[in-house]
Amino acid sequence: MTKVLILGLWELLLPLLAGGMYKKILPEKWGPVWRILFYWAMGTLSFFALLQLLAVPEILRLKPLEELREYWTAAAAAAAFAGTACILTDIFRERRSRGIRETGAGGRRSQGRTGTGDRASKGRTGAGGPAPKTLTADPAATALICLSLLLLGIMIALSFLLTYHDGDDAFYIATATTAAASGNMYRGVAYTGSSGLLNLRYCMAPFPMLLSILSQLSGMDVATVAHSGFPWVMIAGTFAVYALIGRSLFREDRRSLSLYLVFVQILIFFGNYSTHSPENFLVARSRQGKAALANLVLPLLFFLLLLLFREISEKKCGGKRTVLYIFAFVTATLAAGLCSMLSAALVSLLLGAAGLCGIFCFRTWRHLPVLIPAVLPPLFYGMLYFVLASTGAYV
Amino acid sequence: MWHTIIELYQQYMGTGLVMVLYPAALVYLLMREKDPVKKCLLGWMPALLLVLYFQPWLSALFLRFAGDEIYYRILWLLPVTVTIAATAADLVRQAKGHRKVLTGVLLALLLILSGDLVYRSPYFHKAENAAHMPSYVVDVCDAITLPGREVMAVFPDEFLQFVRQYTPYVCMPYGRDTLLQDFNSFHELARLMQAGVIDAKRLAECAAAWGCHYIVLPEGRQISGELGDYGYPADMVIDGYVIYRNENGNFDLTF
Repeated sequence: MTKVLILGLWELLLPLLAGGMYKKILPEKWGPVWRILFYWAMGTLSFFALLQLLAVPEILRLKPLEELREYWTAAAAAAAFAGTACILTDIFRERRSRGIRETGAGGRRSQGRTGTGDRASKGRTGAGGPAPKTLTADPAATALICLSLLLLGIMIALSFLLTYHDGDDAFYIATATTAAASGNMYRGVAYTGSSGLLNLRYCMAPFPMLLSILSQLSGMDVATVAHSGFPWVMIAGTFAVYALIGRSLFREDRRSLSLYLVFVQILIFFGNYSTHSPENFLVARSRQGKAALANLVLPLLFFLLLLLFREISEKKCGGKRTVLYIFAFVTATLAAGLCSMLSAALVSLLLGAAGLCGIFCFRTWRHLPVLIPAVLPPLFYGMLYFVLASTGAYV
Repeated sequence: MWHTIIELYQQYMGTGLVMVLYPAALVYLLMREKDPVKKCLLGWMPALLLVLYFQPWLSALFLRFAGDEIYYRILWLLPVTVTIAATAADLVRQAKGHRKVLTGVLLALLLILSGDLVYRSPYFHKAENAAHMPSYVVDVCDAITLPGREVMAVFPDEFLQFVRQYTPYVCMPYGRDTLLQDFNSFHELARLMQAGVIDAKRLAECAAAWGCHYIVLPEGRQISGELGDYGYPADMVIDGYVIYRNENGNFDLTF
């Protein structure tokens, strides 16, 4: 039970707190449920990003896993602390300003709080009438939300009860198992246990080290963490990101949002139209970096693009918010680097295409100061790979 | 090049209609959507990515540096799920009165029929333990593992994927990667293990040369000769597998 709690701490609570660092990116109007989902998703990505930053140099310098674990836990704890400080500061500031407003208005409740991201949506109606303020105000929306949550629950339960024997696990999980037991990262042939040269392609995207570290921190063996302790994070995280995207697309139209969530769940459940689909990767290979890239990181990047372009279209982005967006985008692109070496190309392509479309659709360049720095980490890792590969010291 | 691009796209489309529904949803969105942000990110950007995907120069670049098997992953950049789900929700929103429910149900049915249930894959099995390893792998590995050191063992093919996931203390002369190669470049031990009738003498000699402490074979496997006569007597039977132990092997903990 203690092991499960420790794992829960690293997979749920600490990322949730760390996500507080990105709180100012969400429009103020978004409620606490959306904030929690966003904090968790961004916090998880910030942990991925920190691991990518720390792991690649440690692996290339042939340092032991224990050293990486110590650095990463310290960095992740610092991120959680910083996130908590951001959340608490905001809560205190809000309470103080509310108190001042109430006193200043002679006890009259202030109505002055305005959103920053949803002003354009005011007056937009849902299904032909005024948008309900809460979910419970619309029984149909509530029922649909419950249905999507039920489907999510079934999917999580099945991730514990069923197993998918994917051949690639023989490499990825074995790499994590070997590192956790020996402390050596990528210094052997995971398939057999024999010694070998560093395989650069895998060293540059060391997602399995996350499983090794979680295993060491929780005391569970790596296979249990990989097959039982991690998939639910991926499945719930994917749902959270799709929900955030839906919230951004449908704004106050809760009924359409709830319908969208049900359709998303149906598409994931019936996503076996091909073994290459992200949905198939999510359910079948949820412990692999590729699945995290396709289902968590890329959709979250898409969500960040939605937020950025919304602000661009409303002529809000600039100054401090540009810095905030750079921070969030760089976190996401670094996290993508942890998941797969190919992400260097995929992320560059995505942000490049988004940048180009943004210029033509909004006739502005104001998103480029965000997107250009965001592409730098994947480009750096891509170039580092080619430089190191040319030395011939790696497989 | 063009052939590879099309082939990979067809593989990505698979058997379902989802990749037919997606372009339809994309066109619908581009024609009907008023919100410029949605139109840009769900319409124009994926359209541009699709155009890029079908560019031979891009695929040539990808194939050169990343291999031809993973070019399809560019298609992961398309927000397929979001676009189809958002379009479906929009169609329901536009329906009037009782038609809303009917439209919703019909669209849900269409999506169900277009895809295929993920859990129907033959590779899904009931999990036998928290590590999701087959119980025979767990039992055999637990039986041969020595505390404080590694052991080398040669296994039948069905073990290769799982042994090193379960324990790093059991090493193998060849792993799952061998099965991905063509038969002619197979490890010699792999060829001996996969032979219709196993040659006991050659298998024992080869396993000993590779420092194998154990040979694991299914009960009833056809063997010409006795492995015991060549230094590998049967030690125990676990979950239908016979474990032959190298009587000259080094089992010292100070190895």
